[in-house]
Amino acid sequence: MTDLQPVEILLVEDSDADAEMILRALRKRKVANHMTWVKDGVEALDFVFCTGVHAGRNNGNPKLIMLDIKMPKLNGIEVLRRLKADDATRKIPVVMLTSSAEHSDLDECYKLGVNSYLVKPVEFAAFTEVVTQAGFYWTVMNRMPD
Amino acid sequence: MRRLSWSQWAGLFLAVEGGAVSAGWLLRVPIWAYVLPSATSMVFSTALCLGLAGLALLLPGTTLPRDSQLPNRVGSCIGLIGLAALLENSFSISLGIDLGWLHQWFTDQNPHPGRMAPNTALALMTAGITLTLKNPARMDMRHSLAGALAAVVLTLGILGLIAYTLLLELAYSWWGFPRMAFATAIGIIVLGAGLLAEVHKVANRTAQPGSYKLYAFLGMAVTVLITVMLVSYGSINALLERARWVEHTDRVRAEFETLMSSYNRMHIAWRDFLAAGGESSLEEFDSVSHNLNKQLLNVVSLVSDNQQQVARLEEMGHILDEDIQSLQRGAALKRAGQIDRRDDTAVQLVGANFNRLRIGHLADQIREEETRLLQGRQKDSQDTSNSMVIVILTGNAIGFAILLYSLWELKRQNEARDVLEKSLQTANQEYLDLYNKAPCGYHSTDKNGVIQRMNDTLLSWLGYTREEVVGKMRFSDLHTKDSLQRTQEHLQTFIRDGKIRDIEYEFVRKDGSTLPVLLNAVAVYDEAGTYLKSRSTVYDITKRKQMESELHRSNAFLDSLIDNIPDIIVVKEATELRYVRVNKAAQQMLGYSQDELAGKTAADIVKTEQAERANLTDRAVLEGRVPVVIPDSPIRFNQKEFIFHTVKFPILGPDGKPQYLLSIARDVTAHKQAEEAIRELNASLQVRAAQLEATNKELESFSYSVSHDLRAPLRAIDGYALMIEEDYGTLLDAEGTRYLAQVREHSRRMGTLIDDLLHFSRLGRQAINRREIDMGQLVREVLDELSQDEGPPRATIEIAALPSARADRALLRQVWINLISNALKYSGKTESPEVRIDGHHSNGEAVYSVRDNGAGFDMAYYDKLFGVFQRLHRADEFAGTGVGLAIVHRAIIRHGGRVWAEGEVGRGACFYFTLPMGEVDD
Repeated sequence: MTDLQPVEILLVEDSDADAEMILRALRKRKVANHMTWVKDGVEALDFVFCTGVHAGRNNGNPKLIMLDIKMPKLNGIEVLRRLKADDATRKIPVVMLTSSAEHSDLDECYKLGVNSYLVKPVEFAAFTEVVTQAGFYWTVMNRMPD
Repeated sequence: MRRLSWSQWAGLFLAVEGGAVSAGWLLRVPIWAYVLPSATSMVFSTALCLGLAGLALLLPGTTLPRDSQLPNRVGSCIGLIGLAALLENSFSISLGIDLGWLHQWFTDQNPHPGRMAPNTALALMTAGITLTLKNPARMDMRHSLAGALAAVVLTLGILGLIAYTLLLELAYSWWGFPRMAFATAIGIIVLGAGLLAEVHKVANRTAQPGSYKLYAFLGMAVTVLITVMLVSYGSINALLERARWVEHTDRVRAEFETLMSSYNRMHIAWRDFLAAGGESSLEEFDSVSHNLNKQLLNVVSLVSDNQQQVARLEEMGHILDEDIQSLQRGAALKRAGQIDRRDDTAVQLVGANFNRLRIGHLADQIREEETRLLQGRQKDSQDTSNSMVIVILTGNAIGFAILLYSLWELKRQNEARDVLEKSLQTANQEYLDLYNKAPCGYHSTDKNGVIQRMNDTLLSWLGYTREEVVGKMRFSDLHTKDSLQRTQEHLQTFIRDGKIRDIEYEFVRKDGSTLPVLLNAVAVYDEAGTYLKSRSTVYDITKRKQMESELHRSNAFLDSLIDNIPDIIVVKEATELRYVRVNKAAQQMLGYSQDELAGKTAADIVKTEQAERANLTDRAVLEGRVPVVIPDSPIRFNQKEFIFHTVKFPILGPDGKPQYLLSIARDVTAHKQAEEAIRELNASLQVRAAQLEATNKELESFSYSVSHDLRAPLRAIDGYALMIEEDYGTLLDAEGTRYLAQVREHSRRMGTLIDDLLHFSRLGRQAINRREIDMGQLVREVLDELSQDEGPPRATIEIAALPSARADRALLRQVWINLISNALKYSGKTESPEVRIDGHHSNGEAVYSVRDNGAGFDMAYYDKLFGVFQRLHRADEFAGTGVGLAIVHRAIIRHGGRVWAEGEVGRGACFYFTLPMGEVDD
């Protein structure tokens, strides 16, 4: 898949349902038009660093990465560590999306330099509200260094 | 043989001298009696006395005992002989002691053969008295008198010697007394010196050794002066005698000249007759010649003491008679007329001229003799008076010199006595000071037990003044009844033995308290041995008594300590390892009492090999001198196995060598068994803990999964239900829409359940962060929050003053939220709901309670009250998941507190929880 348009939001989410609901909410509220959804951490890193299946990608860094923590293979915290360890990707805002409010995860993420940490509410309405607000804030409201 | 003293040397000399002279008389050897040729001889009785006196001085202390009575007997004997001789001399009588027959073969100047000279007699009498004074026991009381008498003897001897050598005639020529011989004088001097030496020796043993000297000098002075007096008296007598003789000679010469003039007148008358032939001339001739013979006889009677003159006068008488006859014949011739005128023939015829010549010649001789006598007597008299003056002056000078010396000596002795008295006074003051300030008590009682003296120390101990006690109180007044009885018991032995030692008594003080003392007393007796008084020393033994009781108490304490120690304590002596001391635990274990064990060895009570093993260890400990620990050694006693943990160590004596061996053994049998059990328990516990940890891990990952994996589908259910509602809502009828709403409602409830469950499980793992919490403030915050969330409550809420506590604020906040919201919830349906929040301190805990008057609960289900997801009400009565109280329970338990509740259906419930006060380890 080759897309020359810059990706606005990269969603890393192993749950199809959650991904579908997130994408639907973001799209419905028109927060972003161009979104890419990958299903695990390995692919997420491949996408960001243009490696593996995304080796030929050249449409730049995404504006925002929404990252689920609990994923098969490489989990969200590991992905975050790699992103924040690289100068090329350090400035990309990363919003953690997680089902649990485990304090240890929260601490770890903030140590690694996460930009936001959101707990997915069980209630769908609340869930879509949180996700859209976060997407809106980071992609539209927030000013990034050039 | 011991060295002889001066007096013994004198005695030896006298014994030899006296013996030699006595032998001389008995054996008729003149030289032994003379000693010095031309000297007066010593009489036998003097020699005997001197010899005896010599033995009296020599023998005691050499061959006879020192306290021999010989000197006294000899003294009496000599004294009596001296006295007798003195009487003989004084009254010129013989008492038969001269023993004249012994002296008959010998002639000397002694007018009474064998009689003692008066001064010898006096000296010997004095010496005799001196010797009778020599009683060794009493000498000190009479040595002054003895000194004086001995000095008299010595002086008499010296005077005798001087008289003998210088003034022989003068001193002995009066009254015809016997003379003191030269050898006697020497003997008397030696005797006097010997006696003085003896007195000196005795006086040296007394307090005032020099005092006899004064009396000795006085004796000398008196003797010298009396002798001088006697000599003066004798000399004056002799002088008078000599004067009488001169007078006599004058008279003789005068009478003789009268005779001679009568003779001449006779011749003149005769011549006149011849010449003139007058009858008157013849008559004168007749009367003169007739008286002439009478005159001659008168002169003869005057010179009758001088035989030579008498002879001359008698011759003259014969010639006179011849002359007168021839003259008468001539006169007759004249008358006859044969001669008529003066005629030389007639004179020649009668030889008148020749006779006259012979008488003149004789008269010259007589005159010459008388003149010679007169001159000699005048010279003697002059000499005597000269010597007398010398003797009197010298004697007085010497006498007064000695007197002066005596006075000086007296003064010196008085001064010495003054010094002595002063030092005595000082010593007395010092003694009084020591007596009064001594650290012990002194008192003296008379024979009736009345206190005579008591020192300040004892008075201050007893609290009396001296005036209250001395002379007024008896010894017995100051004692307790018990002590009084003891006094009676000891009194007789005390009087008999003269002392009493270290008797414990109790005095009674003035204020009635008692004073324990240690009493020592000495009895004082008079010369007859009658008990006079007692002198006592007392020591205050209050402290000692206290210390004794203290010691006793501390010993008893130590004993009970040792006996009550549950460990086995055994003390053995170090040489043969015999038991000395075993405590109760040891006695029980070994099955013997202390008395049975004392002196026994291990071999007497346990098997030989066990005893040998014990002894081997004991010896090693004693040799090594260091404690040895024998951990957990099994020992068999009385068919039982024990495990002992033993420590053995030597107790060193003062010489640094081991004196005792101390073993302390603890019966660790039960302990060991318990340890074993604990070890087993621990092992299983470790397994369980590992299992638990694993379970916990599982639980954790389970709850993690729950949070992710259970929520995700729920969210999906809700999300898709909503999507249906949004996208296809118009296609559903009312019933379909209600179903869809039910789906979403249940998925939402399940989400709540999961959230609560997660919350609860997190409580178990979350660290507790204790801080001081103001509980009142926390409760008010919680109430505020609850009213914000759910609106102002209907209930009346009372909050009492709540004790603060150290706890995790967030957890406690949750606890209060749960309890208060429960109370509000369950009282919500009551008409006038009331909630009361209380708190107080009790037994080191802070106790809090939340009471409501709501629905309450049935105590029958109390055990389900705090269980997770356990509910006592139906959800349609009161909403809730059943996790709230479980969270409360877990939070409080994690703080170390307790939770409980009381309730009654329809009457309300009260929930209590406690928090520990102070520092708590998590």
